[in-house]
Amino acid sequence: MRFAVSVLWLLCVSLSAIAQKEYEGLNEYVISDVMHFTILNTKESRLERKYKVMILNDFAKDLNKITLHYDKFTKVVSLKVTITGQDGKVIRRYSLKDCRDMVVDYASFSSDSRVKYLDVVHGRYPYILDVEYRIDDKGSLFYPVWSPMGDEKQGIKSSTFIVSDPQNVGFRYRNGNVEEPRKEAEGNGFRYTWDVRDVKSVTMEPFNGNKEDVLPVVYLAPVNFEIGGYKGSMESWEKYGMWAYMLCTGKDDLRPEQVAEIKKECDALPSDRDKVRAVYRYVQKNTRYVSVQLGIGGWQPFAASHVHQNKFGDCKALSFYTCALLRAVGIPAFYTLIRAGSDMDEIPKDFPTSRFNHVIVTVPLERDTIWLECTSQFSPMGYMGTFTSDRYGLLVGEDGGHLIRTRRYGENDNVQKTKVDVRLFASGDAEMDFCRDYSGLEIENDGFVHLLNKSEDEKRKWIQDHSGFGNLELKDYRFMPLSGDEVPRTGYEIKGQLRGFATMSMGRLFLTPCRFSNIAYIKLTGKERFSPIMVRYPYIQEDTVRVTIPEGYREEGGIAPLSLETPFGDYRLAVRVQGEEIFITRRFCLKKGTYPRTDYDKFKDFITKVQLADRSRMVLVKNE
Amino acid sequence: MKRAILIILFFLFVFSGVEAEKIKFKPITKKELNVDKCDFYPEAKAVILTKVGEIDFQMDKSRLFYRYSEGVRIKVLDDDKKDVANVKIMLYSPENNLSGPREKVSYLSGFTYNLENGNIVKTKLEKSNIFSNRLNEHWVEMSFVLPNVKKGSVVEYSFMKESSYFTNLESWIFQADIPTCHNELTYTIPEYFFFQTRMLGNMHEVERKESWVSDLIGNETLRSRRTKLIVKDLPPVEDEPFVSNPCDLPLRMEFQLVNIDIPGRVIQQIAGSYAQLNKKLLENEYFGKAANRGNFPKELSEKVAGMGDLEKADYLFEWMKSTVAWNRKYGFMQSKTWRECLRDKEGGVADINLALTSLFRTHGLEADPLILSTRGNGTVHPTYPSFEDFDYVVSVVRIGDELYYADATARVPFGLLPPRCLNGDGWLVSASGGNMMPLKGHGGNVCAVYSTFQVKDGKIEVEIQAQDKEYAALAVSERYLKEGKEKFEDQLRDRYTEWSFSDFKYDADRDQVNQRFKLERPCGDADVLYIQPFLYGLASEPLFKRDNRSAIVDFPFHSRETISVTILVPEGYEPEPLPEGLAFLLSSKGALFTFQALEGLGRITLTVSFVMKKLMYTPREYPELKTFFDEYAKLAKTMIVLKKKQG
Repeated sequence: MRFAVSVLWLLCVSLSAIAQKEYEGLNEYVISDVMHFTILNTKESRLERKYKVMILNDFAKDLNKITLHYDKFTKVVSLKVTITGQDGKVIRRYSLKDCRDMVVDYASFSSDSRVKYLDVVHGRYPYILDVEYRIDDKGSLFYPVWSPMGDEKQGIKSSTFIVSDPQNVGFRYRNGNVEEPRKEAEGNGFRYTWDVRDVKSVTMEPFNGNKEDVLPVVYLAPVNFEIGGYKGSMESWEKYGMWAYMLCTGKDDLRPEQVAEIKKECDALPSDRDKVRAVYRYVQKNTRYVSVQLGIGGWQPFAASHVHQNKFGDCKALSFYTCALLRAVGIPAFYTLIRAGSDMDEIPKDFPTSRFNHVIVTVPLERDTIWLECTSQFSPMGYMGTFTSDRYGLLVGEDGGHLIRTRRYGENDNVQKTKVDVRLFASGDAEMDFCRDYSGLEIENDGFVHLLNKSEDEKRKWIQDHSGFGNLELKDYRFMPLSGDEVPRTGYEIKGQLRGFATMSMGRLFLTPCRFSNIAYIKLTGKERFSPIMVRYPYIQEDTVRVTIPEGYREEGGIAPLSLETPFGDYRLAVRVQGEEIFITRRFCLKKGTYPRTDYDKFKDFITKVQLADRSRMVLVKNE
Repeated sequence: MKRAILIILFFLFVFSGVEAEKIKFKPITKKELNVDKCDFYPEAKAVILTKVGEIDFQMDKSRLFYRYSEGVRIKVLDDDKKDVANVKIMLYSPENNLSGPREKVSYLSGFTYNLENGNIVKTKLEKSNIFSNRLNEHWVEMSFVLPNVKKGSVVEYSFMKESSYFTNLESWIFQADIPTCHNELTYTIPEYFFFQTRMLGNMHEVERKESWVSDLIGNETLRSRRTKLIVKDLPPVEDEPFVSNPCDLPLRMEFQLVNIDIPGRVIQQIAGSYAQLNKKLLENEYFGKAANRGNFPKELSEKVAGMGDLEKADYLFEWMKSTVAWNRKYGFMQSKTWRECLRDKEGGVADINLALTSLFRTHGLEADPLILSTRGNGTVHPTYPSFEDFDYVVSVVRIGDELYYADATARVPFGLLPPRCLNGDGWLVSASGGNMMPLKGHGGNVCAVYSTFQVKDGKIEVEIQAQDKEYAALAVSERYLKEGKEKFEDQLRDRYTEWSFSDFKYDADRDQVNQRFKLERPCGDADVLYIQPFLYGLASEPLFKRDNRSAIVDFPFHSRETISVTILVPEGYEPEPLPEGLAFLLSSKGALFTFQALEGLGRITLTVSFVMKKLMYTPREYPELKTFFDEYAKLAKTMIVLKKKQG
């Protein structure tokens, strides 16, 4: 026993010694974490994970919230949780039956995706949490991603990923920022082991790129797989696409009268483009998006005739239906898997996996290709948005899958143009005519595009909530309808009174005339940068402001013009005074690009200079 | 969460075994299908043409239950609102059968009507489009998707729910997020039941009809009171900022069973007055008794032995906070014993705060538990309490004439409730009969900012000191703890890009957070110096942006802010005439701000003070309140001009 006591004592010493340095600023400290994935055969697998983490304070919110996903194909088999105090005594144990069992996919109307959830709380910090669980999978469409770095303020002493393939079923992996695994024999096959040790915590940074650019991560994927009785191969995109195609087999079942109905809408139209537009409008008018994800239905679309009859479906069903309608009028169209979301990681071109979460339609026309988002009731034809633009998608055809790159919106597509005419009074109040045009991705600014279909009341509230000009008394406004297809245009006009546009103080008027557009929303906090800078969505802001100053006033302090040209973008601010009128032109362009982290200071310098110039103050004083 | 108050009925009366009455709609008309806008709300994208509800009671073997039927007909006016045809029904359905009976849907049907080539086409809701999904251990969600919905469609559905939770009937919601043309509720309640009903939410005209209906059971006649409420042309509920309880907004009817009074039997009191609730809670094993139980360490008693009451209370409070952590569970009834809490070092709101009350009492302090409803959970009824309205308990200590509110689940000092608790009134459960207590008013947003400007060697130097107390301190310290010193400092620095920022200091004790930093920027030897004096503590964006308001504005706490700026006028400069002083007092006297600028002895002193005592403002008071905050925001932009002396 003496031996045991002394070991315990040693452990305490080493813990408190580390406490000084390694834990500082952390919420969680992972002492060890072993994730062991075993491939049983082409269908089944088992995931066993065992971790020991020190929870340091009540801001910890990652490893102490145990969230185990499951669905029709996966099963959480066991869970063992132990809380140990600083003195080494076990305080409490939990098992699977202590978990809450909940729906997670609230975005779906009906889904069988669920979690076993346990929120561990213990009030005496620090404490040690030991967690051990096992999840069995009857389908092999998804192999785990090992991404040992979790939350911010989480340090890691040791984290290990083991993949056992005792039957030599075969699998593929792709490393990001980790060393090649150790390979050993196991059974008739092999065992692979990855390790990371002593890693500092991650910091979330603005303009972050892909996770695998900076963090340790291992993506895993099967060679041959099977789910819900459907077998496939992920060896290549072609083969994976073949599987997705197979799931759609027999679903293209529009009945003759249904085909006749759509043909009637399209036959008279002169060009293919017009036909695509007509079909797209037809789908928008006649269906609605309802997400139902049950069993294999998570990957398999409803039949086209079913959608036609019921007039609703999820992204798969609506996209497949749109393809069927297009083909019915003689236009080739392809069901296309994509990873949607404005800040999603890129899908690596050379590593076929099932990391898609959405489906759209690709329509290759003679001159250009159009992509259709079929879940939106009002999106312009071909508009991709930050949701699906500029990324890889998997086009699914008879001959399998093809990786395609979706439309990229350049800075010249994404333009916000603002024209303001301000008539300033000696009181500091002003009369304003304001006009703003958006094009391309800029239509999504402040949720603008979603507003076009809302009630007048909501439009009015939006202007008041988002104007950011100060105290606006709205007299009149007008929203421009959406026009254009792939690069849509819209905008709005307002007339109103800006109370306190200029500050009247000490016989002078102070005003910041560049307030209508700015980039104050870019927050570059912190001096150090860990990850490369990635600007995904470029844009241009162009402003022309005319300020008519009150009679009897003159400029005492002006605005310095500024011209900046950098690899990240450029900025130009020019001011011209002409009698009682001041003309200000401003242009800001942020280019698409990825820059090394060492460029952060220069990037920050550019942004800061622009932000300062945007806040430039003008002083008007009464003529003596 | 629904709580089953199981009532065992020792009597048996049988309601006429009527076949489940389904809501019957009049046949759809072309007129309804031709509606192309909502007359009283023209911009509507969809409108509820009719919503009909029926509530009645049934007996099945020995089980008493109620039936809740709902029938809805909605016109889709725009493609954007086709999702009105996706419907969800929540059913209270404990996974564990022992936790109470389950609610069920006994009937469901739906249709979509379209006008096609002048003919009415009717599409039925198929079974395959009805889903049932267990959300968690308490609730099941039943959902369905009506087919064939287009712009112009009329969708119709009706369902009946059966529930044994008849002490708290499901509320009937009249108002939706789309306008309603006609909404009608009929509830039939046997004369032996006394229900307290209350109409809540936004005001609107309600037509009420009452009648008696009789059922013959054997030779006995059972009479029931039938009430019909009709509401017409109801606009949608608005979504507005500064509303603490959105669930309080829609016009709705709530029911609370008060007693069951069967002739020849003792009246069975179900819910009743607060006095009865008070008595019940005091006697309750998991409430009143729990607030008197608990073994606390001897050392603790020794430690506090010599202390004064306030010091003692504070010490005990801090001890509780550091001993048992909150597991994020709400509620006001104990769910685990003190021994278990101590073992696990965690507990729910009730476990911790009832133990806290007991801890205070054990050490000779006068303490009582206070039950309340948190922000977002709705406000409690002033005279008829309902168990379900409450979701939280705190402890109240009386020291001298002062009451101190204590919540040991939150990172707050003794005497301050966390913002989530600041919602209307709560009920103090005490042996002297208890009483209703306001929850707000203990602690406010209190801060003081001092800045000094100095011009030296071609530079403007500013020293800023901020002292935050109570809720202001809470907000700052919470962020500081969460972000860590470095990030907190970075965020502050980023607010002053024009300046070089240095000497940041932060220190906090239990009552106050102090921050201090310096700013500096070159100004050269300019003829005119412009100084923006309010660099910290005043927001330049107005608080309210919308020009009108329909809901009450509800601030969580009062405010006391002072901002003082001293500008040392440099040698050779003189100020232009200073801005005039200003005072703005709301006509309700609920809030006041003042601004003052003085000059003398080579310095300029600016002082802003802001006090807000009144916390609720009606829509009628809104325009003045908005102007008040607009003018207050303007102060932040005040400029001071110093000019070089001539000659």
